[in-house]
Amino acid sequence: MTHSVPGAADADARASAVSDLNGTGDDAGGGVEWPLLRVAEVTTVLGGKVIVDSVSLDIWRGEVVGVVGSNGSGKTTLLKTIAGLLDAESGVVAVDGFSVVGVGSGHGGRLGFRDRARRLAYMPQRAESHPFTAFEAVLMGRYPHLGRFALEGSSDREMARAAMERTSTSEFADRKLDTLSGGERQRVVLARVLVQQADVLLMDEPTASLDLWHQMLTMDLMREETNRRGAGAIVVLHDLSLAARYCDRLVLLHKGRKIAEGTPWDVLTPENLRTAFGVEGLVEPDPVTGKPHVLLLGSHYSESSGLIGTGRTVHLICGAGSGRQLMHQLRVAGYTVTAGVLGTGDSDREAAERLGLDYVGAPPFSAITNEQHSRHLELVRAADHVVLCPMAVGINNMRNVEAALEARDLLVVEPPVSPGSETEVAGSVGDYTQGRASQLRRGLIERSGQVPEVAVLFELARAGSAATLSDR
Amino acid sequence: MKLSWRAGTVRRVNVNSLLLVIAGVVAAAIVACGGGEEAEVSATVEATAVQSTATVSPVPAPDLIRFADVPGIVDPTNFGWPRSVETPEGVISLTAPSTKIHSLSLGHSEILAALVDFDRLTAVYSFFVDDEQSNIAALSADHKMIGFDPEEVVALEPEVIIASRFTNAETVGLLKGAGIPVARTNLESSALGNIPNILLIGYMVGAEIEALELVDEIESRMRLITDGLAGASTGVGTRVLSVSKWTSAFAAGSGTTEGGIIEQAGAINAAADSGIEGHQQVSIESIAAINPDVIIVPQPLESANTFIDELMSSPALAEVPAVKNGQVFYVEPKYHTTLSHWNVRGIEQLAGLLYPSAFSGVAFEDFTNWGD
Amino acid sequence: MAVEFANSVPTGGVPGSTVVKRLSGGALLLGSLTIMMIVVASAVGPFNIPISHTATTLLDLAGIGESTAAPTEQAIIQSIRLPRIFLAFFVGAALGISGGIMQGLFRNSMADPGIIGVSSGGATGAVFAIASGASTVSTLFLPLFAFVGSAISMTIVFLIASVGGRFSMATLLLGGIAVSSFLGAVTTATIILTDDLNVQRQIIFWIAGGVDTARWESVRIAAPIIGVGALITVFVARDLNLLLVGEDEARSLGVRVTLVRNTLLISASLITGAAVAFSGIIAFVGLVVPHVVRLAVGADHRVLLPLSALGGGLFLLVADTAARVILSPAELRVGILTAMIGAPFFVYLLVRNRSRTSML
Repeated sequence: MTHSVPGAADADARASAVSDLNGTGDDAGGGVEWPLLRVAEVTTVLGGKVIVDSVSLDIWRGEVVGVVGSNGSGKTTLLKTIAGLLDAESGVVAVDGFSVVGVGSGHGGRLGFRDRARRLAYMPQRAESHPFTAFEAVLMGRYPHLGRFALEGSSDREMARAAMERTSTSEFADRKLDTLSGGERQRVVLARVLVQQADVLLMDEPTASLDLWHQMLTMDLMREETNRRGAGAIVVLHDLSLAARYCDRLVLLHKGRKIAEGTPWDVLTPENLRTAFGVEGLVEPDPVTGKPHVLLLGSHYSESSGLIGTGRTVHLICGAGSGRQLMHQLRVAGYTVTAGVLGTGDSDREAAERLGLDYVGAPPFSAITNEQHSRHLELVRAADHVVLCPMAVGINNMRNVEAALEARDLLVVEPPVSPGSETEVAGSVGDYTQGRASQLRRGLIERSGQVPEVAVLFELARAGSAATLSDR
Repeated sequence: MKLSWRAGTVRRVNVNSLLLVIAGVVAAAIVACGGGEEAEVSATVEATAVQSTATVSPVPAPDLIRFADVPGIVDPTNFGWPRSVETPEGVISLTAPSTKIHSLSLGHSEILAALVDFDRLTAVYSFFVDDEQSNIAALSADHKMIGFDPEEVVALEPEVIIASRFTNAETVGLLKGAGIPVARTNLESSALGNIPNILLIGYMVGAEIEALELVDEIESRMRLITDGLAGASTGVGTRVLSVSKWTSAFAAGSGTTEGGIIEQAGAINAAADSGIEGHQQVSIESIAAINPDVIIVPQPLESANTFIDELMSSPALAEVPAVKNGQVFYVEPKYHTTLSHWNVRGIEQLAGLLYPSAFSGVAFEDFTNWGD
Repeated sequence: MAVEFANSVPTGGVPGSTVVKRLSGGALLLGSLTIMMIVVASAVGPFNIPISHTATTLLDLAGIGESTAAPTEQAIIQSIRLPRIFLAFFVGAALGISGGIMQGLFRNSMADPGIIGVSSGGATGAVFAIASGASTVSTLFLPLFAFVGSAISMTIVFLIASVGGRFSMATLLLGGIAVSSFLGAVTTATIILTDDLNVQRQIIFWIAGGVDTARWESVRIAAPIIGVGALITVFVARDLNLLLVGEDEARSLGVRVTLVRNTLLISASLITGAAVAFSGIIAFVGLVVPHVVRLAVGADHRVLLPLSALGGGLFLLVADTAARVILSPAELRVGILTAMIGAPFFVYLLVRNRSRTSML
């Protein structure tokens, strides 16, 4: 099979290519469904190091696949290998059954350079800089479609103009690229990718240096291409929520290997986040799209040593959102955090739940029972530090304040001052106990002093190091 | 303290690089001017005076009075030792006839070879042995040869160094710094004009008699030329072009040795006549425009013949009298490009070429060296 | 090290202004100036020829009418001035186009045709021809040796850049600098160490560059090499555009990067080698001309390269004509004249682009 120009390539050749790539060797009949782009067990070695390790991936028409992973996980290398910019050590990449990369040619034939450029468009991570004007740079996207000596015709120029309109780059069409900002250049390159009219778009962080509006524009345009023309796209993205929102399918790379593939919900699990990125994260449905939305907790979240709070326990007495922020901050700082007593539906309880803290819960709007109180006291006594948050106190949670009396080391957090508010006076919290709670709180403040919320971590750190010294 | 010292160092480096740049510009300018001066330019030749104790002449011959007019002799009545000369490098006192003279130029070496035993010269340079360029090739061939490093000169421990005005100032400075007296003397392209220089050199090395003999010979040879020219009825005002080709062609204009030889041979230097000063690049067309009656090519025979063939076969020169009349000649470069009494041989040769009838029967002979 | 392209001057091309328009406009302008200059250069020189004689001689050569000039005048025009005019034009064109190619390939407007050691290789070849005496055997030996020197040094630099199997433009550049420095040292050492003053003289004059030795024979040899080389580059000019954008970009837009780059490097080197062989080292034409052309018509090499060739040819023709007449009947070396024009311009570029000067 020697023909390299696809045109109306015969279905047999395509089918056999696919079956060969499948490695199944099953029937090469015309009924076989084959993907727009097939990446089969591609391995790329750079400088003697395996960067992409036997990754397989199929893209179907109209589909956008996001490639996610940490720095150095091989995303860019994979994309460059697919684009034919790096040599694959092994494996095959085929578009429409025509091999473009690897030794597995001769199925549907091997595509020539320009044929490949008509099928695969590549948008690099770093936008180019050179003395061509933006318009000239966009027009270059038509080169693969022109004969060797053919010049760009009016239809090519029309396409370029339209693409620049779509990417909102028309206003600097006549400026040289090396006079434009990074974001402007990135959009010019996007416009070129659009005029290239390739079947598969390979985009390496196309939104990296763009402002929010242009990020959305870029992703919307990419979806337009897949929806209108039936193009397929592989997009490397760092923003996982953006990836989840725009991609039909995600591929998670870790150390060059594909460790997960599937719908965003399948891939963006807390476990995968932990494995691939080393971060503790929460995944929640986006209220509008229902797509997964990733909430990240902190860089050292799952680490257990070497942090300021390592080995120390802080108990938070809080409620109604008064301890939410501290809970997260303390956890990120490495403290073991406990909390209590939190009623069902309380936002602090929700936070504690999500953060996986040890806490004492209670049904909503009911007084703390003896059993709950004694469990709470256990946590209070076990903690190295107890922090009393400025929550409103009523009959139901009065015993929470009382529990503070048992603290080994107590910090009372100043209530927030909301400017302009008549109801909240500095130094006071909601008290629905005829002053009993306030009186108790004043007594605690006299004993332990009071700190603003922003100073809590610092105070704890100081107390912690003092404790460490006295331990010695 | 330390910082300011460092700053000083940096500044000095900058000055040095500036000097380098200036040197480069000067070098470029020299190239631009069409290849510099004479053979001496690149040669940085030198002359030293070493005198054998044998040449003691207690009773000055009557014509020693000629030394009275020689610039540079501090006391023209003193023919004993020590004696002093004044050159642009200062007054040099010579205690005895030197036996270790170092000459930095071919011209000086040629003059010294005529005045003293060549063994009194400490060393020669490689190009002295080229018999097409040098009139002392045979003497030099057996002599000690050194390279262009001033250190080699110092190692010879010469008693006096004779340099020309073309000698690189840095070299002179280095040698003076090594405590060796350096005498810079002029060399003139005019045969008679060069006489005071010859007398000065003779005085420095204690070869007054030999210098006077050489001067006499120059004067009588030049008289013969002048007389012959006076008798020549035809050919006066012949325009002669001296041109040689080193990748490109270069003509000798005013102020050049070759030009001086042409004029002393009773002809007109056509290049100078056309406004060329010094050595300048010319094209074939320039030669056509200069339109000389005679062309002489003072360069080694092989390349001269190639160039002469080119001139003779160029259709653009077909109407130039020199080419049309077959008056394109090879002349020996050693007579034309040096700066010494040997230029007189060039004058004689050219005069014989230009006015064969006036000099028919005259056999011009080479100068002799000391001891010959 | 690298100074990026000057940028603040508008390209002059509005979107839609076609390659054809810019190319034909520029070619028309430069072409007619060149023809005018050929006539002027044919008419002036140390030998005074009436303009009418020049005109009729040129027309005669073009097959129109009959020359009214004297045989000597005709000979001077035909065998002295015209070969020199054409050699100057072709050498200038060679330097202009290969400068444009090198600037594109190295993505650096300070690149010149000699950047990968071709010129110094040519100089070393010439030095070898002069020092060995080969140059006196045949007039063709000097250019031949120079050309071979260019080819050898280019090959060495190529091999250096390909060590380890992976070709690198940065290594190519650094290898070019290293080889140039080495060969420059060889040349200087030959000048210093040679016993023969005439050899020194010839080397110095050859290096200073000039087309004064032009004969029809030189034109007949140099012009086809330069012409074919230039033609090849036209085939890949569009690909060079993409290479200037970036190697990855070029490859993903269907350019056979290695093939195109090697084609361009080799043809630019051969063109330069041919020019250097017949003219010595003429500085700054290859640097300045493409730069000015780029400012005028933009960076599209389909326009830039042909116009750089025309512009370079015209520039060297003007410079050589000036070199012939300024000191008439003596001459300046044209290499000195171009450096005198080029060096200040180079400084101007450096100063203008100072804020954009960066390490490679």
